[in-house]
Amino acid sequence: MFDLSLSKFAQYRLTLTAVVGLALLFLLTGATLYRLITASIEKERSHRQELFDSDLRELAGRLDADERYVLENNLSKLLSEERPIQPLLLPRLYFVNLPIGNSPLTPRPPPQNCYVDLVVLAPNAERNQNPDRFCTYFTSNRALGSYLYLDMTLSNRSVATLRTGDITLHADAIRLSVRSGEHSGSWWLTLQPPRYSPPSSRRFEVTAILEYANGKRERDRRIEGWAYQQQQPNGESLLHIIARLDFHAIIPQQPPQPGILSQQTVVKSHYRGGQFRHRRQEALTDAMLEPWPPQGWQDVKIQLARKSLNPDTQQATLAEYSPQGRTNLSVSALSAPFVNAYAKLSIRQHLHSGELKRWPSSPPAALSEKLDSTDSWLRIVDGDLVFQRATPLVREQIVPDTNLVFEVSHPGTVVEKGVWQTAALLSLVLFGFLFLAHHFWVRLLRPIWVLSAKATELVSSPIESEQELPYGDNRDEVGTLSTAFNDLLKETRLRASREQAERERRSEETRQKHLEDVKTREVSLKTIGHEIRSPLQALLGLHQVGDPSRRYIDRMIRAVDHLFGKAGPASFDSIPIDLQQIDIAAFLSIQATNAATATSPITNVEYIGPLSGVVCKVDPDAFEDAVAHILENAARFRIDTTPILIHLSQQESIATISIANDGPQIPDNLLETIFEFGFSPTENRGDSNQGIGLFAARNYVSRMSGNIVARNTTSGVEFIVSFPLDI
Amino acid sequence: MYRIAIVEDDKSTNDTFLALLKNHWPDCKVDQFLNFESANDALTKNHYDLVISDIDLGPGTDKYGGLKIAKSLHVKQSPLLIVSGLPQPELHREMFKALDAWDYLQKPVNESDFINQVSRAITFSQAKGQGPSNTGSFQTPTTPDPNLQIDLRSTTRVIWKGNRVNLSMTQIRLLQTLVEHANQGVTFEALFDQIDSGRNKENLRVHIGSIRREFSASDPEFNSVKNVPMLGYMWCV
Repeated sequence: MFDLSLSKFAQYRLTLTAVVGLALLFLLTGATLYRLITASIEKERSHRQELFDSDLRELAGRLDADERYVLENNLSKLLSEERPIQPLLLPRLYFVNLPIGNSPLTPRPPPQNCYVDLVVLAPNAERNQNPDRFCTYFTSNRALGSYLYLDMTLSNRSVATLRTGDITLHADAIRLSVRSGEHSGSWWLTLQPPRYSPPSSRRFEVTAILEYANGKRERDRRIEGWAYQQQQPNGESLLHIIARLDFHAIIPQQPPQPGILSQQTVVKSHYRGGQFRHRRQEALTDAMLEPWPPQGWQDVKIQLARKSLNPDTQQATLAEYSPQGRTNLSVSALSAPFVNAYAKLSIRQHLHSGELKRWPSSPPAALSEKLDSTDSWLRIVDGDLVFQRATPLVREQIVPDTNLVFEVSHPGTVVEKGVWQTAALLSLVLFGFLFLAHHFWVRLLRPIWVLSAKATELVSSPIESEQELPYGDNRDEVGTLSTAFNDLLKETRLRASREQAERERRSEETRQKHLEDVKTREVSLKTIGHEIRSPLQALLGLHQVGDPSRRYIDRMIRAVDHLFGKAGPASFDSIPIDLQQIDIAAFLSIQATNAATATSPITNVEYIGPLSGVVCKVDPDAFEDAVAHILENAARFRIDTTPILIHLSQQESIATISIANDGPQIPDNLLETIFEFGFSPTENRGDSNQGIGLFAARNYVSRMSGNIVARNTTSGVEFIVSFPLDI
Repeated sequence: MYRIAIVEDDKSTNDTFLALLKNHWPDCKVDQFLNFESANDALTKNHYDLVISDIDLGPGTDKYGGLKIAKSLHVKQSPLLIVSGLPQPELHREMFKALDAWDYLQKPVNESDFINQVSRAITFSQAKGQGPSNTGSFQTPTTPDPNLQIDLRSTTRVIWKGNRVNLSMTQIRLLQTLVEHANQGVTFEALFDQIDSGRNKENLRVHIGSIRREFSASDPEFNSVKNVPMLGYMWCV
């Protein structure tokens, strides 16, 4: 068994090696691919979770107390990247009066998220690395006065101050327009050197010029403030303006008439009021009476413009600022790191009323495509595959001292471009291997199998067959191999055909010579026979029965019968053969059926094959006798009454009859001898066999252009009789 | 009383045949001839119920004098029984075609075969003498096969599709046996009974083969004698 298995393995070694190798390669690559993707996903999720926690902590810690306050109380205005230039509510006062002397101290600026970066409108729009910034706010503490505070940082190479008494405003100036509901006011804020400070201090007093609707201008002391220049490391200088506006300049306090006041009314009321309200005591008194921040403070709108005087040409240019500024420290900007990771940042606010309000942030415009506005389970962003999982990753962080909670929501799974591209490449390699395996199978292994099977089939094909090995038309190595073998096959067949023709020629010559010899001998025998038979007839008359010499005459008569063919091999040659078209299929099926009822019955004969349609040219008597002799031989040697199988088949131009029985095998050296006249392996067993049947069968079959051979099978003996089909 | 002629150049054999005939038919009249000339003269002048003749009538006469006797018997229409040392006379079959009835025995022949064959020949002769001995009557079919006529009283005893088929008396008996059981099949044993000598399958094959060839000679499409494998033969209508 081991040898057999080893032999089988050797026979299919190439196939088995290829199959096993490719299977291992497939499994290895597939496992690597699977490991790469799953490990990447899980690792990325874990890592992202930690990252979000870290980022949220950093984000919350990044805001100082004032910024957190601003965020908590002005959240709706800080969500987007841009917001209108409007005042916020700040926790404290950041305004100080103009320091006296050369104090280097600068006032503490408002929280970062109070500022907006100003945007210059066309046509003077220009991108500045340090854009002008603006912060305006109310303080939550009413006791600090009814002021609207202004804080500006402007880029400025030099400052053109306002000369005293110059009502034409031939100087650098900021136009400030404030609107609250129906009330509004417009001022030019100019700078003048302070009265008691040295010029080197680079500080300026703010001089506000109220401008009426009709173009009339007038200094307005309800706006007070100052400015200072600050040199930057890059050589540029920034101009910081700190100012506050008595909010009553917009909404008059006395009398607090309900209704809408025109700008003119505001101005007049200002004059009627007499003086700028700078006395704290008075302000405190008012503070206790007025609601603060003032009603509608969230809707106060401010518009800014900047007039710059060219010191060389003395030409003034006016740059209008957009009413929308870029929000500093907006939630949108803060969410950028999260959006970059395909997560959304939102803020939960637990209101004092117990209500929970969620403030979703909008992503930065540059990153808007990172977030999905739909609910699709898969998105491709910048080459990354973003899968929306059923369990998104959610992390949160409480913002200290506020009622706010930062919350980050991530879709769940992101397969980064590099990962899936690597996976795709591996898949490509995998499919490449599969393609190569398929190609290997189709173009090499399978042809080898087919060639082997066909070659095995051709081994038993007749010499005159024109069958060839397939794939001869292929132009590859298999085709070349097949063509070479076909050429070899042709040459071999040609040689075999020549040898067979030569053998047949010699055989025919021998046969003819034999026939001539037989004929000559028959003629001689007939002549001799006549010369013997006639005297014998006379002797029979002379020596009647009972005569002592009669027995010698009887012996002579028996000897003559043997000598002249009544029982010898020559007698079969003298039996004429008349070839006819006989359907041997029908003939054999009937013969098998009738065998059981013959004079010498042969039971259990089975016929396997077509019932008609196999026509050969045979002598029906000789054919019947030949088959009968083989059946009698099979019946004699079979085991008990085991079946005798007659199997008829046809292949190309040959009809083949197989008559097989179970029983003892014939020694190999006797497989031909059994067809000789008088041979009987059972002659010593005392039965009636005279060794004539198989001789007669071969004699008849060969005279009908057929062939008969015997061979041993695993269970007994098989006689193969073949005839050319009469097509 | 039968009148039989024996034509045999060997005196001893001739006498033996005479003795056999006299033993079985004591009142029969037997004329013995030792050569062709005397036999031919007698056969021309007289009618015989049976002529028993050798082929080779010995030196001094024609080598195959028996064949000449067969030719002369065509006119006399007497049955001829050949008893010869030669094998089955295939070479001379054309000669016997002219005869009404003939049969063949190969020497040496024993008494029983000889007497049986003579009896059957006389039966043929008697049957012929009982009816109109004309050139043949096709009025009434004598077999189940409408194409076949077997009329022992006629000079043309076997007619197939209007053509005469020349058969020996043994072969006619075999044919009669087959036709009487047309489409049924006749066993080998039943057919053996119609053969006087050599009652074996090989000899039967020779006779059946001859019957087929004779019918095929007049009708190339003839295919009425069928093998019943392992059992016998059948005449198919």
